[in-house]
Amino acid sequence: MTTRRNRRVQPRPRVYEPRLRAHDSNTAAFREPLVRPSKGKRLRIIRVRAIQEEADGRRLYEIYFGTGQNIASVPGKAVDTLDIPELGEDSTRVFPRDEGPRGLRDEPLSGRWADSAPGTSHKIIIEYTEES
Amino acid sequence: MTTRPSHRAPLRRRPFVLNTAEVTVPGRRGRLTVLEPAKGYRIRLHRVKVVQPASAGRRLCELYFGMAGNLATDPSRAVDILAVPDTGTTSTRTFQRDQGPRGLRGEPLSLRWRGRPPSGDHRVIVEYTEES
Repeated sequence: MTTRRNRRVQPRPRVYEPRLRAHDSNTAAFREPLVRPSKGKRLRIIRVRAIQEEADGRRLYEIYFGTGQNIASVPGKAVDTLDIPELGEDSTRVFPRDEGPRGLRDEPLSGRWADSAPGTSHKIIIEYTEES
Repeated sequence: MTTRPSHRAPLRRRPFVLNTAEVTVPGRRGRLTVLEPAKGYRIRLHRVKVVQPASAGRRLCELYFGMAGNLATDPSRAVDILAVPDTGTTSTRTFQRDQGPRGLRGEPLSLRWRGRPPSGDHRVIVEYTEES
């Protein structure tokens, strides 16, 4: 009599390759694309950070997936609203591996100034991964 | 006699899909519904963030599950009490995967301003998952 070992197929862990993109924000209250995934891929957010380099007052910045006009127009696609203090910075929380908000295939990550847009460009730093 | 390796059925982990909702909450007396789960599902919270877009003074808001008039009515359904600074932002702590407060099936997440309600709207960003 032979003992047959229980064979379990081990899932191959997804390759983890964090990417970073630095974006200069616009100065208008219109949506702007922050990152577009490669063709057929999806974006998974790790962290988004916004820095105000020159004094421009407190600003709110909406971050969401898709091409909606603003965060409120696309329910279920929200990522966060950043509250950037004067001469300061704000960021989303850091999402653990495979637990961040994820867009659909080919769906861009968008940003938009809430209420009033600033007079100066802000640095937006997006840390993300791409998934198939 | 042979030793049979123990057969353990591998536990299939619940798929993790983080949802984020951005809700505008008015400055009004009484309970306000922030979020309702999909039919037959429960809300599991990861983080709730409250942003005061325009100056309205420091305010305290109660977050809890259910339809009670306030948090004291059913303290077991409490999530947190947030102190929102004047023209500022605050949030609950970030709960780990499967460790955040969870509502009952069909139970909404509610908010109530303590004391005098603020004059303007606030933005509430809810990070949550839905569980069956």
